[in-house]
Amino acid sequence: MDYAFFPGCIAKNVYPGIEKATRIVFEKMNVGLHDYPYSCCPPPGVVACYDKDTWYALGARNLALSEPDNRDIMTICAGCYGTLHNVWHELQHNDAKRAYVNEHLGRIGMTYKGTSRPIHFVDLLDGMRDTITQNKEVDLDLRVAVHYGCHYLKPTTVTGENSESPMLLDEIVGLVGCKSIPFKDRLTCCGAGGGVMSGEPELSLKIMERKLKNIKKADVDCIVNICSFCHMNFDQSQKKLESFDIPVLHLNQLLGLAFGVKHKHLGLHMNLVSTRDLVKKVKGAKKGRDEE
Amino acid sequence: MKIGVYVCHCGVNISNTVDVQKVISEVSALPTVAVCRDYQYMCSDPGQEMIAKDIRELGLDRVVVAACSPRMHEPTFRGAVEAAGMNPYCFEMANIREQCSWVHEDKEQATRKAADLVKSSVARAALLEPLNSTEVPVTHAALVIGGGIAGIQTALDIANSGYPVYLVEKDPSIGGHMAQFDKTFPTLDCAACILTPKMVDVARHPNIELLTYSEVESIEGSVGNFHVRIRKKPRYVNVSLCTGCGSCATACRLVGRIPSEFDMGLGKRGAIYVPFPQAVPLRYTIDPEKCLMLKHGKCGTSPKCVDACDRDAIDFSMTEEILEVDVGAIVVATGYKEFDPTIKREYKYGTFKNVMTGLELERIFAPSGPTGGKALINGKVPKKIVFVSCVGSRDKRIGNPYCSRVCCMYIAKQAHLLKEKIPDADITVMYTDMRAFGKGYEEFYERVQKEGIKYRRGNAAEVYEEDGVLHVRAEDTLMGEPYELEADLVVLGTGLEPSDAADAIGHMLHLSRSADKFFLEAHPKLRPVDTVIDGVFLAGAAQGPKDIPDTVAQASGAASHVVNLLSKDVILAEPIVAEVNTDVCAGCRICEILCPYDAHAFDEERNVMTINKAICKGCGSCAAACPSGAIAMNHFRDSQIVAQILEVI
Amino acid sequence: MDKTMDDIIREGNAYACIQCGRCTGSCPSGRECGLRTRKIIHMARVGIDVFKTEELWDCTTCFTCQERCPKEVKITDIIIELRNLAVKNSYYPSMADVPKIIIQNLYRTGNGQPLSPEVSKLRSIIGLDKEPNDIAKDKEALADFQKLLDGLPLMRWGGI
Ligand SMILES: Cc1cc2nc3c(=O)[nH]c(=O)nc-3n(C[C@H](O)[C@H](O)[C@H](O)COP(=O)(O)OP(=O)(O)OC[C@H]3O[C@@H](n4cnc5c(N)ncnc54)[C@H](O)[C@@H]3O)c2cc1C
Ligand code: SF4
Ligand code: SF4
Repeated sequence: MDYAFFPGCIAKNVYPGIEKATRIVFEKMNVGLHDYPYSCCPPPGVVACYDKDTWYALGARNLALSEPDNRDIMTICAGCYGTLHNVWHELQHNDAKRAYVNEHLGRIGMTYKGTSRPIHFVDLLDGMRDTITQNKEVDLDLRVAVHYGCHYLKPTTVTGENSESPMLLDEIVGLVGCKSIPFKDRLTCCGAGGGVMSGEPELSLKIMERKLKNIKKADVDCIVNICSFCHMNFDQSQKKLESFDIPVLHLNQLLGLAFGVKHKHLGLHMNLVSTRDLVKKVKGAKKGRDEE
Repeated sequence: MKIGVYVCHCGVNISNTVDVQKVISEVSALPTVAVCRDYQYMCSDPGQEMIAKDIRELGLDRVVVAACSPRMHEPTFRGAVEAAGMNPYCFEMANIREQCSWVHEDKEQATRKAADLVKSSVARAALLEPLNSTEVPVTHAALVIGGGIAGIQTALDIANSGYPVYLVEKDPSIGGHMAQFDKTFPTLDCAACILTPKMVDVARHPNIELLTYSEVESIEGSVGNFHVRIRKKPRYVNVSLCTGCGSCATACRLVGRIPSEFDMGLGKRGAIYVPFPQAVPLRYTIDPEKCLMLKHGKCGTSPKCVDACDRDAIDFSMTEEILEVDVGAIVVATGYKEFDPTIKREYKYGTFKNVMTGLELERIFAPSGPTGGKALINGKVPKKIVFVSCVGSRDKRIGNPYCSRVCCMYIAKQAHLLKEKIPDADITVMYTDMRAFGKGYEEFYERVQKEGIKYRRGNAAEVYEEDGVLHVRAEDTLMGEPYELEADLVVLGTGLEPSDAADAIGHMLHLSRSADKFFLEAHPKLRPVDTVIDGVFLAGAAQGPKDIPDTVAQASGAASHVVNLLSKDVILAEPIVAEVNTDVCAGCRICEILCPYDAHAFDEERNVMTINKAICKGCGSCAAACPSGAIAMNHFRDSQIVAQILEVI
Repeated sequence: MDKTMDDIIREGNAYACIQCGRCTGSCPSGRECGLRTRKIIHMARVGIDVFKTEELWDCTTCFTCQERCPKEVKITDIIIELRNLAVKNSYYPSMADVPKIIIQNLYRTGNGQPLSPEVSKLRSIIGLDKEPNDIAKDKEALADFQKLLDGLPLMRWGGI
């Protein structure tokens, strides 16, 4: 299996551990990931809210890059997925918009055909449950709070997901021995999207604080997300709010731990919220296993 | 050929966009047109008289009226020409309103189109043939399908007029949803007190044959003469021996183990049961899906019910029976089913037991219900109660865009009843819009507010649980503030959907559905109890969500239409039917598959198709499809249609 | 493809709104601030220039309201379109400075969030290329990208 790999700015330029973890985990699972000269998705919160047409055109440029190689595009961030998938979906049936986009891409010698589909990595994992289990070296035995990320789930008319009671992520963390702990409002927004984190950091922080309080009550070992942007918000906001100390892991970092990868190779030490205790706990689990 | 043409102004509906005089001058020039006039309202008395006079004085052979849609006034004008001595099928109508003046703006073009339409009608009129209706005898009996309040009222009204009625109910008892209620809005009458006497009347009425636990298998024929097959499901209890004493039910090994449908699963019954103590008929039924004897051939050492029954009424060897009856008219009163809110996941119905539907709560109030009428939810008295309106109504997402018309009021009723039982309860109704449109409803709404029920505009967004307590989130839209309420009980004001069991009946009778999936009446205002199928009528919630007063009114309306029909010895059958030219028919049988009314019967001996005139509705499907051109449609012959088309192209 | 307020309302099906408030009740942002989603739809329908309000920019575009709306009003889509309209009419939110920086970064480096020297170091520590293999590295692609952006409306309206 081969995919064009769309890491997105946050995983590349802020939390490189996520990019690294993704490369390791997918290599172990024999999925080839290929780089392209991608720009950022572009961000739905800023670019789509300022000018949707620009958003379509830049998104289409990214989508078109792997078309000559016939490769679908794997994203690891709900924000990137939101942009690329929504653009792809709209251009599938909106001929006027497609013509508009192609008119502009034509200026730089490109065309958009729509033959490469964006896919969120968690949907890919859905079909690879056996491979995950085969690669698992450690049963992590962690209590985790999962966070889906709004743009992975919604709008359901585009995503086709179940936005009120999704289970996929809960099931996947279960494959590596983690228990997804229910908590209040588990599906609400983290507060980062729509340009709110950059434009209105205080509001964003309030939304996040409420979320963190609910997670805190659930007494979990860590937060597991499938969105680099939410990841950044969860990690950075805790530093600002100070009263929380819940480690934040991208799902690929969690899988990396379960696949026996050293935490430093996964960049866990680069998080603002310390992952030391968590790593210790996992090492304990691993040791226990080795001794058996 | 002398054709009279009459162009209507329809007030200004037509004449504003169409130059009527210009149409007249063009049409008058046609060689077949003997006279061409216009009038403000052709359908009015003077308008009709104008035509009649010309028929009498000028000896017209054909009449064309250019006006509105034939759906509107064709019967009117047919009647008018017939009264003046002309065959009604020599009349032709040109629609220059719906298909011309209403949909165009450019007067010149609209006038040209109107003239073309009239000319093409004239061309067709010249080729029309007089047709004669045949007389069909009427069977003086009726079938009513569904034994809710609608079916009960219809059956009683028809029976009281002296005609025999077969009342078919699929469940073991009649009564429908109304039997599940304790009180009814807005008067708070006890439902049982007003319903049970009617149920008993039905059972005792000499003209009513009550067929409970029965389903309609097939219906053939047409108005005046329907042949119906009814399947009586085996009760495994001989109803003529059973006295309804109930010894069997208390003895049953499964007593208290099976969720009772009547109690919405909140109460339990055994394998042998009556749905509720006032059931009519008060005869026991064995549930074949659950009974140990029927499922495994064995119930302990011997079936306890058999041991308990002094009358030897239990009979495991019973099988289903098919009953065949002939009726002249049919009333469909199949009612509704409650919307299943499981798919509105944000309300967590099915996850938390104290999130309930409206019908479930009705059973909590009932003295014969699962709590004996005590306001207990999971064994506790709820103190904080939130009602959520419009669950499954006014909701396009789940495909029910319509208003269910009863929920606002049953919520008010239920809130009142809860307050009566739990005076210190804190009750809030979250509503979208308050619809208290019926007689006494607005007053009732005011009354419950006086009793301390809080009404807050703005519907619930979601229900969530925290530390074992439910919370409901909403916006108070009048204050423009989001808020949350704790609740020990959340009642979902679930809407109404057509009953599943109505599907099969709809197919058998070829009934159409409106966009809301309820059965479609023949006209939304003027024919609310008729269907487009002659002799088939609608009553109650089968036609659309309704409260009991409206249901009963419609039921009596349907009954009067039935009686009207049954009071005739013969009826005239529409002569616009398909006819097979057996010399040309190749016996390919394509038409047979296409006919939506099963009017075709193949004559094996002669290897040709025949069409039953009484069943044929003249839809033309077969005539259009016949590869040999062997089928002709009366009144829509190829020659007539071709002449009409040629005039406009 | 400029949209008027009327286009936005029609495309978003705002005329179907029954003001039930399920949207506001669902809104994670409105719990913390003055955003009243239902009111935005109402104001848009009655012809008030709702694109001038600051609340419009409080939405995180989480789509919860749009999912729950029983009348299939495309609420979040409408909010995004209204923001576009605001930008076109120079009603930038007072808090638009950071988003502007993001747009400038996007133009300069191809990424809204560019690579810093610190993260570059971190990348090599964990064994990734110092610089990601993306547009910022591919100068030719970046030049094309800038050419593409030059002709797109964002640069006209983005206040850059
Ligand atoms: C929670 C709730 C509370 C309500 N409270 C009130 C109130 O207080 N006052 C008021 O005026 N209205 C009230 N209503 C409305 C009331 O229930 C209806 O107006 C009324 O029941 C309609 O009667 P019906 O006979 O048309 O339908 P139903 O009551 O649904 O009866 C239909 C009958 O047809 C039978 N049937 C269906 N299909 C077939 C078939 N194929 N063959 C044979 N039989 C079939 C069914 O078994 C059923 O017995 C309430 C509704 C709800 C949901
Ligand atoms: S949820 Fe939909 S219908 Fe209800 S107020 Fe909001 S936009 Fe209007
Ligand atoms: S999309 Fe915006 S308005 Fe709608 S619920 Fe989310 S934050 Fe609120």
